Order: sequence, then C-alpha cells, then structure tokens
Amino acid sequence: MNSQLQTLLENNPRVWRAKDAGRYLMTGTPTGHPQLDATLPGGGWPVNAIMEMVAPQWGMGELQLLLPLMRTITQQKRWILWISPPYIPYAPALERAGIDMDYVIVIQPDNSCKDALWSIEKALQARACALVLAWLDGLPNGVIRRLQLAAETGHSLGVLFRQRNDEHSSAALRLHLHPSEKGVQVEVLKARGTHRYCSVHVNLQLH
Amino acid sequence: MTKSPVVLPLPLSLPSEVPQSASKAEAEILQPLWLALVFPKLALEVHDGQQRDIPAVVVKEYKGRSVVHTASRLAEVQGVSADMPINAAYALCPGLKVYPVNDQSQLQRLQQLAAWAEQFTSRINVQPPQALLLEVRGSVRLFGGLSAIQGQIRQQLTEQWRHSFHSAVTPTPMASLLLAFCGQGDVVQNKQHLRSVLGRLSVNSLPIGFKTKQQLRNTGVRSLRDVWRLPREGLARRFGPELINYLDRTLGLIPDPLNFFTSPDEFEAFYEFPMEVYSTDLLFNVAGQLLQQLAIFLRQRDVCINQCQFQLYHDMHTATDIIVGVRQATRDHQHLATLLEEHLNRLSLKAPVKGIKLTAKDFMLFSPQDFSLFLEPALDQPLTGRESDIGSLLEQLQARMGRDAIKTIHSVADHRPEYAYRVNETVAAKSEHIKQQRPFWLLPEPRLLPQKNHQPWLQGPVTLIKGPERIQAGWWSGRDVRRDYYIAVDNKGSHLWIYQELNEPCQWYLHGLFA
Repeated sequence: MNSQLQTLLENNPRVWRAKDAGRYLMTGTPTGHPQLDATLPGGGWPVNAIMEMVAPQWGMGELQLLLPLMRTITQQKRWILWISPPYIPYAPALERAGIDMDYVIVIQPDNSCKDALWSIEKALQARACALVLAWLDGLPNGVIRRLQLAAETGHSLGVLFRQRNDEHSSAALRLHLHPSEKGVQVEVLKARGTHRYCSVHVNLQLH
Repeated sequence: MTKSPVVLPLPLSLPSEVPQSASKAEAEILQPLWLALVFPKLALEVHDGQQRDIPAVVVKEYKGRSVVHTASRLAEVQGVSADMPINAAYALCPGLKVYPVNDQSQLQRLQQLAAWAEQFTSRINVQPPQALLLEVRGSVRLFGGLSAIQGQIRQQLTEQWRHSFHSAVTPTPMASLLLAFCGQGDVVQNKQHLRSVLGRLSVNSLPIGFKTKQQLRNTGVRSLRDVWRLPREGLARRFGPELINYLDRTLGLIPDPLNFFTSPDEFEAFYEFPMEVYSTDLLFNVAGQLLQQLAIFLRQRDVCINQCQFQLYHDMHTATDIIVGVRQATRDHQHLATLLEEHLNRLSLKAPVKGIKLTAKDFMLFSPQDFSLFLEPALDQPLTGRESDIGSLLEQLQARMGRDAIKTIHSVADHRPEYAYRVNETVAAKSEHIKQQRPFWLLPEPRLLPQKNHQPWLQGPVTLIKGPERIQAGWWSGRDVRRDYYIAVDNKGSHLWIYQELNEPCQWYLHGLFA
C-alpha cells in the first residue's frame, strides 16, 4: 500500500476501517444500561466524540439514558455543561438521582445559534469538562465535524439533542428514541465501528 | 607644598585605631546612602523620542521673550545653549525644532520614573523638575553591591526609558544632588570624605540665589574648598542663614528629612492614537501593550486584580467602557488579552477611536497557583487540581455572553416545587433529598392545560398514571400553593408532571417532564 495512504489511515482519527472495528470495541464508556451496552460498538458510549440523540419530543427518557454516565462524571469531579436546555434542569430531581450539582453548569445563550455553537466548541476543548449536553436544531453543515475535532482535543463527549432527524451528519453515534411502555426504544441510526444497525429496548424507571 | 595633605585630613583618624574602626563599621551600616539621578534633558525627552537625532530645543518665557530652556545634543554642537534667546538659536541653527516647556508632563514622567525605581528601594524622593533621590543602603547587599544597582539603573534607563542622566552616590541627599547636577559620577561612602570631594565644585553650581553667588565671587571665593576655609560665623553674618543651612545639610551636619514617594494605589495608562482608529485589530494591539504595563505594575507590587476597565475615547461621543472581569484574580496579561479579544469581537464601534485608557484598582495579594511538576494525570483519574481549567472556560463564556448566561442550579429544602432550587447561589447545607419522584425538567412557568370533559388535554388526551401527591405549603409567605400533582402520559409518549389547583376554578397545569 502507498505509504502516504498508510500514514493517513493510521494517524487520522476521522478515518476508520471496517476491519479495525475491534479497535473501537475497546474504547466505549459503559452506559449503565446492559441492553444498550450489548448493542453499541465498544460496549458503551463513544469516547472523545460527538453523539446525536434524536427524540421527537422531550420527556421520554433522554436524560435517563445518560444518567449513569453523568453520575460517574460528577463523582470524578469533572464538569457537565448543559447548553441551551429547553427547560430548567430541576436540581432536586437530579440530586436525588445522584448527580453532584456542584459540577453542573447551565449555559443559556440569548437565542443565538452562533453563541451556542461557540460555547459548545469551547466547552468540548476544555479538559476539565467531560460531558457537554446541547439542545440545538438546524445545525449548519460541517459544524458537527468541527465539534468532533474539539471533542478529540478536549477528551470529552458531546451529546446533541435534536428533534429532527438529519441524515447527513458525521456524528460518531446517532440514536433515535421512540417512546415505549416501560422505558424507551433506542434505534441505532449510525455507529462508528459497526454496520449492524439495530433497535433495542431499554428499560427505564422514568418515575 | 607636599606637607598640606598631611596637615588637613589626617588628624581625625590618627588616635586609638581599634575602637574607632569598630564604631566606623557600625556607622557605615547606619549611614544612609543616597543615589541621585538627574535628568538634564528631561524637558526635551518628555516630548517624543525623535529629538535625539535632530537639533531641537524646549523654550520657556522669560521677561516676555522666548529663551532656550533645554537644547538637544545636536543643537548644542551647533552653538545653541540654555538661556539663549530663540532668535539667536534660530540664527545658529535654522532647522531647529521647538517645543514649549511642559512642567506637568515632566512631573508625571518623574513620578513614573519613581514608580519604576521602586524595584531598587522603597525610599524614593522626587525632586522636581528633573531629579530623583534613592536611598539604597538597604538594597546594596540584596543586589550584590552598589555597582550592580548602578549598572541595572544605567541599563534600564538607557535601553527602556531612553533618558540621558547623571548619577552620584553620597551619604547625604543634597551632596548627591549637587554632584549629579555637576555631572560628577562620584561615589562617596563616608561622610568624612564629603568635604574633600565637594571642594573642587564651583560655587556657581550651588542652588542658591544669584545675588549670593555674586557676593561670594566678589570676595574671591571660586570653589567650595574656598568656602570651607572661611569662618562659619562670618559666613552666616555675611550671607544669611540659608547658605550655612544648605552647606550643613550637604555635609550631613544637620538632619535633612525628606518625604518619600508613595506609588499611586490605582493603575492608569493612556494611549492617544496619532490618527483616528476604526479597526478593532489596532485597538487590540495597543490594548495588549497597556495590559503588559499593567502586568509589570502588578508584578512590582505582588498583587493581582479581579477586573480592569478600558475606556475608548471618541470625538463628539461619550466614551465606550469595556470591563474585563476574571473569576479568579490574575496578573497574567495574556489571559486578560484573550478575554478582551472576546469583548472586542462583539463590539461595534459607534465612532472612530481617538484614545484608549486602561484603569485598574482594588488590588489583591497575589498567591501563585501550584502546578504539577510531573506529567498531567490520566484523564480517567479524578481531576482535583484542575478547577482553574473550568475557571478559564467560564471566563471566556462570560466575556462573550454576559454574566447572566451562565448558571449553576442547586436545590434547597422547600415543598413548593418552583421554590426548591436556587440559581447562581452556593447553598451551604445540602437539603434532605425528597422521597417523592420529581421530574428532570421543570417548566419556567406552569403551563395552563386546556380541559375536555373535565380532563386535561395536551394536543390529545392525557392519561394519569400516578397520583395524586398533595403539595400544600407557603401560606405563610403569601405565595400559597395548594395542588394535587399527578404523573401522566400524553398520546405521544412523553411523561408529564401535571397538577390540578385545589383552589377554584381547579385548573390543570403542566409543570415538568420526566426525561
């Protein structure tokens, strides 16, 4: 193989080869939900990456899915940034669920998508901040790729919550949530490191 | 003739050698040592940096005529000298550049120089219009000798300040000033040697009245050595007490108390642009230089700041204020510059800028942060010492989006859901966890739900799953809450937290979402 091509394949984090899928299997963060861990490549949430969660409406378990991760992060005394959440993150409930609110910061830009994107990028680049949750729709093309790079620099995970399903997205993992009786039905739209796109039911104790 | 040195200075030190030398050593420690800095061309040098390479003069008004106050070196070469009428100076040197004398800016520059000299000693006296006195006895050992101090002063004055100067060191302030004014760079460590060193100076250089000088010359006194030979009583009677007083202070026979310079407790730096500026890039460059000055100022005082203020001056408009604030007190000018950049990026100038001023006050003692000596800890380990990282991120966000955009949320003990949390307040005592289920999302204001057949309706029927949980509290504060809360599911599958008012007319409200 061409040596230049070889170096490109080996050093560029954005290029992955199907035969290297095993490499990615090593690196997931456990989600805390056994059904989901079994499905996702790497046995958990991707690391140093951007992830998209498409939910047609809020209030169907989208935060519950991330709850074990958030718990671990605040226990490690690393920070979680919530950028333009649709409602007020309710501190009594989050504390009851085991999240240390001392490590949660809410950013509410004044209705400007540009400011929100800028703050997501800065937050992802900061190493003390481990998880960035952002509620944004209508992202310009190519933005996710840029955020992806920021997440790699800062060794953080960015989760974008969206209400519309945008097919052309370069996020490392894309999930579509469907409401169900006892939890949530998670459809994997795209996952870096696998071809097997499937759907799994996750039991959640919403209330 | 060879006898005279034996006769004059020696008799004092001859008897009883041993005790004398011990007390001499003690006296040397206690004796102050004054370093005088005289800036002969200060009046010219405050104007701008150009006059070094061209013939230039500063003029003053004297009896209705303009006369030369200070001439540059090139002008002096062509024959221009002080107190010469300006016409004569022009005749000698047609290409002469002329500035008016500016006492105010000279005094300002002297004060800046005094602030600069605080790195050498804390005891500084400003002698307007063009001299400084530094008491350096206590600094000699710290700097490794007097010559090291003088070397540093010389280097910084010539390279950074670009001032020409004379300096002299003696145990009395007046003697140092006198020697420096005469351009004699003597170093006299002991008071007893002052007479012989000063003896060679002409009486013309004494800072005394013109009439007294003339009287002295008429009596045949040319140099100070001649004055020393005159009887003291006679001198006092003939020339008045001022001369005797001055000479005694010069020789250190009577004390000479001086006021010490105290540095201003605010930082202020100003830059006036030579032309109007429209671009924020240029503003940023100049502001960066001002911030560097601030950093030096802060370092000298070992303090740091929480915020500094920029003012941009315009023609015909009020000044634009920019306040750069930091969460953790700092003296790092680069950090302040990145924050300023965020402010400038968002700023739209209402008018071209003519000048920029940086002010800072409210200083705090600087305490350095401790950094890890070894490698950064692995990322899956808890980051304990890295809070400063999040601090700088929050500062950047704050600088761009304003203070209100960033929130922390903590819970407090209150049964009423909308009062059970606090924004941007550190809650000292963690509240007891409530036992009942609460949603992750709370609506800022409860949303009124329409009703169909006495049942709540949200774009479809709403099914109640759990409840009711009665919350009844707050009657004491005037914000009475009497509600029955239910957990419900709408027809799309969202889990809702809704309540029914117990007071008439028993409306239904949506208050939260279980996410």
